[in-house]
Amino acid sequence: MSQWVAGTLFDNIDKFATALGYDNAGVILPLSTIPWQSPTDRDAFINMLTGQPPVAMPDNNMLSKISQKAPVKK
Amino acid sequence: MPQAQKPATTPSLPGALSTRTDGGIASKQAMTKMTGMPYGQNQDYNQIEASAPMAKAEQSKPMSPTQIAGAAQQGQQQPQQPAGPTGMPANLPSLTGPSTRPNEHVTTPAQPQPQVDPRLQENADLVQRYMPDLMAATQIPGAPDSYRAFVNHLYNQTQLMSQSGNQ
Repeated sequence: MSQWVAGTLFDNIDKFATALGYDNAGVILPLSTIPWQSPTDRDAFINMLTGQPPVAMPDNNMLSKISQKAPVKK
Repeated sequence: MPQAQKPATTPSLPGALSTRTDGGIASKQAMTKMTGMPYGQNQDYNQIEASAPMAKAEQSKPMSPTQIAGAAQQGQQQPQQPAGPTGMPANLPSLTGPSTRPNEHVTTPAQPQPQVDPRLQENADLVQRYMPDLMAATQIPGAPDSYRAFVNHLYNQTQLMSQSGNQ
């Protein structure tokens, strides 16, 4: 399976859901399907819409990273 | 000033009544002579009353027991009337009759109908369409936690909506 790529549909969904709230799926999904020129354009739109730039997401799945870093008891 | 013409009498009435000008007994109510007013006012009142006689009220004759029984039988044989234009059902229970829900208190409110937020319903329909793809994307390596949390939220919401829809 390919890696998570910025600017894809699912990345758009993630950004709009974080910016607009999880209860607004009816707006999030259509906005995410817009063919944005670039993630920067999309983020500029979110900034204009909400008044603040999209929250910077953690690098990746933090829970899995934590579980990977969890000390193993011997 | 022109003089008012004298109204025609009713010659068919017998004796002294033949001079009546109000049409006779059958068509008009009898006049009530006013008394007890100050001097001259009784006459004024009576003249006013005489100028506008009241129509005689229709007298109802009492029904004989045979007629009552016949009318009751006719009422029983009449077919059930469907709901009228006002939408009122034909067979409404009597206000003073026994309750059709004897075990329910009169102050018990009607059962509240489940209110579904139309926005949530719209979201659920939309999400249900995309849910398989959205869930598959959570398995992509590097998928952010926020994305997984969002999909998890949508999944729970969809489950709740389907549960409430089944009830």
